[in-house]
Amino acid sequence: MIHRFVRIMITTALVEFVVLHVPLSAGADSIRPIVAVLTPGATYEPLLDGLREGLARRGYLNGQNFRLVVEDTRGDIEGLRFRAMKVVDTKPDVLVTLTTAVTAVAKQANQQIPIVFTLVANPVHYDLVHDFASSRNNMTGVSTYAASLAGKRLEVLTEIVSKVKAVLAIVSSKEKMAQDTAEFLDNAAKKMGIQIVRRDVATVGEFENVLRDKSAMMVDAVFYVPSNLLSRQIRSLIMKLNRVKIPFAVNDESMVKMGALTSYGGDYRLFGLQAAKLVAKILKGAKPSDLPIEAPDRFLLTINLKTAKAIGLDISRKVLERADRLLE
Amino acid sequence: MLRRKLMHGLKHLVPLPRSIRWRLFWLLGGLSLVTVLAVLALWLPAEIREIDSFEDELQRVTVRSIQVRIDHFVREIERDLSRATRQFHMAAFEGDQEGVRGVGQWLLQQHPAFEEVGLLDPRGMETFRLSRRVATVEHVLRDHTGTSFFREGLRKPVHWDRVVITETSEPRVTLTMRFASTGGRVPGIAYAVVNLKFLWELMEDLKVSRESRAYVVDGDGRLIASSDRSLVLRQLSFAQRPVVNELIFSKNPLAVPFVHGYYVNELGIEVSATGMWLAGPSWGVFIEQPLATLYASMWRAVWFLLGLSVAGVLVSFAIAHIISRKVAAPITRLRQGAERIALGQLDHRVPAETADEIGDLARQFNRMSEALKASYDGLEEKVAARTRELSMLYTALTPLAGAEAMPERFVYILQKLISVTGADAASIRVIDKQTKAYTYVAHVGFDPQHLAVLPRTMRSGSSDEMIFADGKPIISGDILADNRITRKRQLEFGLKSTAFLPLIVQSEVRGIIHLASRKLGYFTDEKQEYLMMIARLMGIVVENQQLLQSSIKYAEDLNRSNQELEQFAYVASHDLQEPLRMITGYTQLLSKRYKGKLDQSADEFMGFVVDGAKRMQVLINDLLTYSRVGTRGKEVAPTDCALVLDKTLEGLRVAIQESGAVVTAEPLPVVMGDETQLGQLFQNLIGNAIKYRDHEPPAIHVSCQRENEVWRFAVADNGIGIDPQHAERIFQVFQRLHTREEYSGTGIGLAVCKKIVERHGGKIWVESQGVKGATFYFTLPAKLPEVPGVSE
Repeated sequence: MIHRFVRIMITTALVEFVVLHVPLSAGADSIRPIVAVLTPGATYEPLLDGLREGLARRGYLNGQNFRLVVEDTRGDIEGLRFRAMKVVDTKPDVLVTLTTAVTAVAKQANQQIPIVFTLVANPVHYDLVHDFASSRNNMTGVSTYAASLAGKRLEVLTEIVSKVKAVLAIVSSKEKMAQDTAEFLDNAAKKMGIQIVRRDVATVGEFENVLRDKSAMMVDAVFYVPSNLLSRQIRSLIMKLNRVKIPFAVNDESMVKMGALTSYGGDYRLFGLQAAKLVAKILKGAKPSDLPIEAPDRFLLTINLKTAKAIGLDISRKVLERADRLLE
Repeated sequence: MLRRKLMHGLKHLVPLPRSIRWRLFWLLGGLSLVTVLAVLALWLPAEIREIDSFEDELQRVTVRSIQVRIDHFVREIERDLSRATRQFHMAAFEGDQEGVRGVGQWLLQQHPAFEEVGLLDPRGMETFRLSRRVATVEHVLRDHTGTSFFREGLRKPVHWDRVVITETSEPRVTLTMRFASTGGRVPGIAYAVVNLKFLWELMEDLKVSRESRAYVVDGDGRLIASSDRSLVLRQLSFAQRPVVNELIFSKNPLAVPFVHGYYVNELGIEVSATGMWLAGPSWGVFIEQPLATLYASMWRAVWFLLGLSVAGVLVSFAIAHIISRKVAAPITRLRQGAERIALGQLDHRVPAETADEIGDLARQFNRMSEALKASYDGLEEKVAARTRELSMLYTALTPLAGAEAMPERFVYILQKLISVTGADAASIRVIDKQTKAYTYVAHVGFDPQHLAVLPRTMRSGSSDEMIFADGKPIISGDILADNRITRKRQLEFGLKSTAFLPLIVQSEVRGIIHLASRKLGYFTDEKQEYLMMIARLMGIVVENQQLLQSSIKYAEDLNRSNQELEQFAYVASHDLQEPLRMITGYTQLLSKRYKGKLDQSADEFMGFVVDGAKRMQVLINDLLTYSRVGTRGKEVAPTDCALVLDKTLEGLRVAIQESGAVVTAEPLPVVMGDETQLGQLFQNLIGNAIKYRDHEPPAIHVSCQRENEVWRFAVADNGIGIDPQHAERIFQVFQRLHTREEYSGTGIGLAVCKKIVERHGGKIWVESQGVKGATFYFTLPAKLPEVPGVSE
């Protein structure tokens, strides 16, 4: 028993040493500056594409005159702090964080390295920055208005899916942003006369239980409440909902591409481009506190016609005409 | 005149180098420098103006570009809202709420800048609102009665309201459009909330330079867009900036194409700004650029030009240096050649390397130096010849102090003169100033018949008179053709060339030296200096001859006089002894036999006769002694002065004892002298020292020191001393400083001493302060005849 314990400890120490001290991208150590990205992974790949594209537009080519280091937490909330410290140890010139939870952990892990956040619903509300004009700390970024946009998203959903009476909202109980979004959703739904079937989940198991819950599936549509937990399970959720032919409204086009019916909100790629703009300014010497928090440049309405057809949904012509993107 | 003054001033200001090379260098370099300065003076201001104008134009173009972009944005927004307003009006008129919503959704879809759209009734109540962010159901229709956009929107067909910054730090402006009025009544207005992020990004994208900034102010001068968003968020007002102030308070801003000015911005940087007005929203668009940046290109141009100019000048000076050196090198070599030739190196030749003027000059120079060398060689020969001639003449004239008679000497001189000058005949004639008559001192080579016609007097207006008047010679190569010569008769005797030279004695023309030649042109002016040198030499010879003759005559007269005087003195003193002794003897006999037998006066008179006879005897003895020094002296021989002194003191023993004198002496040398006379010398000096004593006993010290070639003897005493003013007089015969009553004596003793010393080749003198004591010094030659085994 003791022998086994010692072996585990040694293994853990070795893993920790390797994780903490081995460079993330060996062979390109000498390239400066370093832009590190701390991301929960999952559906945020378009944002990273936008970030790369935006930096390239401004002359920063990865591996040539700067180094992009990406730390993907893969939705691991428990290990988030450890991951954040690992990224900080690489001493990047700018740290880009995705989502509110990741940004909050990154802020705790470091007070010096400039942080450009994105996919943060309301940075003032979550005490990440002082106000939108100036963070008064080492942070700046792009706010998504994800929470406050919940009512508008619900309205868009009702325009696409007529006669919506009940909507399922699976809420990550450990993520504040998810809770806030659910609150905005509830308020709007009440005014619109729509019932929100809310299921709070804290683990993947609980989430899977919701999917197996027959009563939860007896709704007219499902509303995606953004969270790290659900983002990891988004594919299975989309598959499940399409299988049971329930319209699924999400906040990002990338999920629509996976099979969700519709999305309304900021585009991840555009978020990446906006973040790249801020990163470039910081790399050129600007202080994060001098860069106001930006709002999304635009909100996009995307509809997956294939999914609509699959679930037997007819969408009015007017709605289709005002959609920014239609996926077939 | 001005140019001369300018050049004069420049010379004082910048001393011009004396070297041609450096003059050429400074000329070429200076020309290039002046050219560069002129180009700079003309070009630089134009360049600066051009850059300044370019920068202004660049700012204007940039502002215009921003203005066009914003204008395009504004027109697009207005066009969309205008279209939507008409549709809103129709749908609202028909009561089609779904249609109104559809128009609203269409409008939001048209441009991402539209964030919200709504309709207001004539009372200002919201009848419809659609937002990009908020669900319609979440809206509470608001009362906009008190809002500015409602009031102004109702009044104007199109109205852009004030820009506001939301809590999310985004600029938004409300655009209103009035529904078409029906029956003079406005049925309502449509409004759209426009997000002006576009402006912000536009400000970031459009810049003149990295340091420049573009910004937009509203009609109040409030900042609504800037490349620095933080400034907008601080909601600054730029109304106080001159250019902004000028534009927003202009009566018709649209009529002002551009405003331009300078100010210090909020960062404390002095900037140049250009702005223009924007139709529609009534915004001013500006771009500012730090002056430092603005003029950076200008300064770069200036420095580039200056650097280029300096480089150009340096290159020019380098080229000038090379050219001047290349051009001046042959000249320098010419100069060096001239210096070498000047130092006597007449064989030196300057290399003639080029075929140009300098090469020609070098060749001419070489020819000149060759000619100079030839001339110099000839000159050397001539000088040598003349030197030989003069040397011969000098050699001939130098031994003229012989005993020949004057005419014979001058005949000899003329013979030598003819020999030296090559003349065929020569004569010397002197003039009697009173009678103007000539006396021919000597003549050689003239025909006797010719001599007969030579001038005997100086006639008025003749060439001779000119010579006597100005002391200049008359030299004629052709007597017949020379108008100065009045007497042509000389030609009758075949003489064709002549020279009349002034005989100058003691700065006065005393005669004429006449040289004549049978060769035509033999005497020319070129020989004037040479002939005058001979004339001066002849004058000196004559003068020396006269002086010599005078000196010889004087010395002979003096010698004869001295001999006669000495003979007289000796004879007189010697021959007077006998009658004097007779007078003395018989006077004493008369005094002895008849004393007391005659009257008292007779006794007294006889006493005077006896005393006078005795004194005369003493005087005669002394005079005899004095004369004998020169006439009866013995041959000098080595004489021991110590022995002489001892003998002298022995002779003076009585006087010494009586006076109580103390005589001391240092060792005395052996000298060449007359022992008797030296004894006389010591006796006189020591005797005087004893005689001229005061109340103290005489203290006499005899010493002697070697001084170069003589012995200096000293006889010092402590007597009454001698006044220095009489130091010379006491050595003259019969000169006395005291009366016979004070001190006895004839006054001839020191004269005897002087004569003895001088006979021995020495000197005697006295030194005394005149109060007490005197020292008599005399010198005697120290050299003794060399006798083997004997030394001094």
